[in-house]
Amino acid sequence: MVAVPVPGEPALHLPDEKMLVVADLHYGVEAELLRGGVWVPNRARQRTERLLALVAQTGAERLLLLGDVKHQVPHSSHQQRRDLRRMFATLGEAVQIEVVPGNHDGGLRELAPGSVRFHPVQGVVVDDVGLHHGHAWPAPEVVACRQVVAGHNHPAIAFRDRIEKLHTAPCWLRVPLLAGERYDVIGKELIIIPAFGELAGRTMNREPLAGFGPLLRNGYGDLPAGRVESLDGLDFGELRHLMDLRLER
Amino acid sequence: MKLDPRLRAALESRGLAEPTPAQSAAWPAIASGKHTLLIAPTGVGKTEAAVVPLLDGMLRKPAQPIAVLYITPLRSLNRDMLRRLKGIGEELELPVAVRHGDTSQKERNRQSRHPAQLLVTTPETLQIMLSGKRLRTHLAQVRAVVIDEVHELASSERGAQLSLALERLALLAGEFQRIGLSATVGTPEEVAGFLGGDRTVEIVAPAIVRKMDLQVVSPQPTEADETLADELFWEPQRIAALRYCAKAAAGRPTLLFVNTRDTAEALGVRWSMWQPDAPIMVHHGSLSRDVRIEAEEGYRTGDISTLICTSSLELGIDVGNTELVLQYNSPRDPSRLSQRLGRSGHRLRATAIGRVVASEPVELLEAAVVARRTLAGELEPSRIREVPLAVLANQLIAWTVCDKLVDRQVMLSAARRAWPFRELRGEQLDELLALLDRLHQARPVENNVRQGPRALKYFHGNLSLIPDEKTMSVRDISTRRLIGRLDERFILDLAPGERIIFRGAAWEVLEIEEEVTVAPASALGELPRWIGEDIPVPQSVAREVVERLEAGDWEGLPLAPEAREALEIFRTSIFKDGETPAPGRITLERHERLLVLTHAGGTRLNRTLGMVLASLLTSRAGEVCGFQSDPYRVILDLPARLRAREVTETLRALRPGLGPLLRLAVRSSSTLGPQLLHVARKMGAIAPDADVGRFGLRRLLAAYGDTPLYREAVERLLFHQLDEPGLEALATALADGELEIVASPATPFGAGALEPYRDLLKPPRPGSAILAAVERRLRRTVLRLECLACDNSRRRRSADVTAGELRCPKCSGQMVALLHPLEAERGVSLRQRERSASLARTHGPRAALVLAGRGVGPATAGRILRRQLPDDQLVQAVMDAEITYARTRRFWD
Repeated sequence: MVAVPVPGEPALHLPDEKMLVVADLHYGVEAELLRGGVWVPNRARQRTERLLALVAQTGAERLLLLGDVKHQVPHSSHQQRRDLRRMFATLGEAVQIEVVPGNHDGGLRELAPGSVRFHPVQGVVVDDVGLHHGHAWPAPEVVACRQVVAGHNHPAIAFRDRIEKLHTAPCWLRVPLLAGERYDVIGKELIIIPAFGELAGRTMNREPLAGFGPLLRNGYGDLPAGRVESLDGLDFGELRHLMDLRLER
Repeated sequence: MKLDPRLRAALESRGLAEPTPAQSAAWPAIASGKHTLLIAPTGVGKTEAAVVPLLDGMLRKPAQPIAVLYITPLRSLNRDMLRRLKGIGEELELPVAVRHGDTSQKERNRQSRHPAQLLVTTPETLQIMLSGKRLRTHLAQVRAVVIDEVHELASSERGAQLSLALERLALLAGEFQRIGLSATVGTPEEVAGFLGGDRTVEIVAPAIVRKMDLQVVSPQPTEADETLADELFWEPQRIAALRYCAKAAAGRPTLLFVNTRDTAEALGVRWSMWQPDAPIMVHHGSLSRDVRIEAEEGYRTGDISTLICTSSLELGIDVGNTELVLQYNSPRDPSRLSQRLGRSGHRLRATAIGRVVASEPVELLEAAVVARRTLAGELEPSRIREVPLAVLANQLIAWTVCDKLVDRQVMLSAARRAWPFRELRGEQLDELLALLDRLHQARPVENNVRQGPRALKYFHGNLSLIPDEKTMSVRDISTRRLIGRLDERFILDLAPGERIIFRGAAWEVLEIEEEVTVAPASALGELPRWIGEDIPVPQSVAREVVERLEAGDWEGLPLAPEAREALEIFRTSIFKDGETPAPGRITLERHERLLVLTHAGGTRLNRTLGMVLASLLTSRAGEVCGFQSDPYRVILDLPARLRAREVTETLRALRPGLGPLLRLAVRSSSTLGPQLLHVARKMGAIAPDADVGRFGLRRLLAAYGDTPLYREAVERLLFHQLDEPGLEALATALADGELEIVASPATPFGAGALEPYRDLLKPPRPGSAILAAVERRLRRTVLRLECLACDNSRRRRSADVTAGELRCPKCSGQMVALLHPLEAERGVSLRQRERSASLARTHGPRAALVLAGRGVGPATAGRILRRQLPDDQLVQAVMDAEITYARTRRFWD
């Protein structure tokens, strides 16, 4: 009972450790979109400022970036390198930065200053909370924690209002963990953090459910029983009851 | 005017010796070299009026090719023009050629080497020509430019693009003579301004009265129609209209105009089912070029005697043999009817014969008002948008691609000579250039602008400013032929196995891959839907309709007797039931859960009013208020807690100065997405070949929220689809008490608004989707029921906690505490349990619903329950309490 969501933000707070956890920042996503012919304004600076404000608000001394800090792989653009350099420089003055690499983070270590602490891809345990990105199998000690935390999926919930217009909003997803062959000890639940990057978002409550990492793909979590919670802290209930959420006519 | 003898001989040999009145009027002005706008109805020899004096000039003073550009908005017009001019050109050794999208590469190359003296082309092809190295040297010789159908171009973005292209051409070729050919318009000065920019234009508008025989009819269904209605799955009124059309069209070449492609298809399929051998064909913009040309050829040769068409045949091909023009349902705008009627009796001095067929009463009266205005020549003013930024961006990029380096000052002063950009400010240009720099489309360097790295690709993908409707080809498997194209938006909702009506026949969808494969089917299916076809009804027409309806005044309307009678009957039915609509009056009618507001605003104003009202009512109720509108009514889909009274209050509170509110309302309107996509493509943010589907419109709206692209999309939507000045005038009238608001019982006039939505009007449950989800979760939450007397405990879902369950089954004790499982786990004090039990006693099962809330203890629950809220607000209160709890929690349970 050490990890709490920051109200209204896609960020997790470990107060006892003075640690802030965010996932899926995707610096460089704008450059990748441009390569595909779509220009969007670069929001890297605002993203960094939002992070800085959260660090100040929570009084965190450690900032854990839980994977997909950068976006472009294997290509790396000038813009991505520049935005990452600025982010590390700005935040590094305020807080100790740590990284659990995600599937987009190949080559990140070369771009980061030496003061940034890198954890293994299999994850890290901080005060009995297991933290990993979610695209690869986590280490046994990570899974053994009561709360296992991951990013990677960018969970969001979609619902229709009374005139059938579709709205989506980022959300937390808390999936009960199930025992299996691979691990001797398994924790209580998998907490999936909503993405910190603005352009990300994958709606969870619409078919087909896809794109999950090895834990959920291989039956280590009871996905339909996963609880969906808004950033405000509102409990929407279990995912199985939320498929194509709409008013009955 | 004395023509060169060679030219006179060429004209004489073609039977064109005598100039028509339009030609006599225009020749002196054109021959004198003045910029000239010739305004005259169709079929009076406008082309020759422009071309003959130009040819004469070329014979007198030999010119280097290309001496004359003849620009038309349509390729089919070009083909027609070539047919008319080629022979004369050859005879005079002044070669005439056509160059447009369909011209082969071989022919293009030949033209670059041996240019024609008179080149017929389109605005888009002019764009390409301005980029060709060799062609530019030929273009530098241009002495005169003729713009055909200039009234059509003037009010479109294509026209704004052409106005800038002409300024670029003027920089290249020096000043040239500008000649515009226009149909009758409401505001000739505006069109003349568009033609000349800051140059003086002489308007030549000879008083040529075309005889028009125009009448509005309303065929009444007979018994035979009732029978046929069952066979053809259509209302008897429409069958009667179809029968009328078939009878009127028999034996003479007829164009049957309809307003939408859907209607063209629906009418075509019924006609063919009813008379399988009828010589008819459907013609509209979504059909493939082959099919359209086949229809046009068939009509010209007489194999096809009736074409059912949309605005696709308003302009374009020579349909000179047309004897009758039929219009099915109201033509909506006098300019439309005028243009369509002009297709009949195309030869000089023949009377144009037109019949408008309508059955629904409001449609019928509107048709009559439009017909009267057409006969009286009361046309609407042209609407030309000022400084359309997407068009300017398009031309700035094209300019740098063609010229490599452009001086910023030259750019500014040339652009300001073009009519739509006359108010362009230097800062506006610089802001746009800064954006294009960020987009990698242009590179401002000191006082010059160079092309950006993405510019070349942009240029070739964006020659045209006509909105891209992404479409897919449709192939008939039985003949392996491509039969047309379907809109992407329609296909997204389509699955194999479904039936559709397309090209006037029913098809079964077999496969949707790169193209849609279909096979002929016999049964009816769903109609394809296309966007962007809604012809707006002007406010002036809507007002006259309502004025006449109130007064029962049919004087001066070209109505057939049975149509007049139908209107009388309709009017009596309104008077019997409730308040009659009137121009200075808004009536509010309740139709079940919907509120219909009648107001004679026309299409754009009523849409604007609906949007603003819905947005205000939404914030008032905290729940979405939906709306739909037509030229006479606004339908409001009110949240449960709102009544007519709140709508009246909201209306009365409207004050001028609604611009910011309107812009806010536009931001959440569903039409903004496609607008933004168009603007983002045309301003160069999104590459022509980019796959936007994966990115999604929703994210696009979010990503562009604070960019100039977004503002341009909003302003473009405001201009083309909404009426901001009209809304301001309405707010002023309300404030001054010149517009009364009256509640009325439901009338057939109000009910008419609901007709198109009949199927969609099943009532949904009140409350937002979030509320519904939370409520379901609360009802499913399992509570522990604990008897304070005997300690017996049970588990029940909160939904199952009835009054009976609140008594202990073991000891019949009446103090039963309701405990949330999480709290029960942690242990609850006796004091807490007593408070919970007492809540259950006082409030019954409602207490169970509230106590099922996470972190809602008996104290909070008591505060909520004491407020005695209705059910939906109760859930809202629990939701608020849960959010408060979440904000202050120190752990995650």
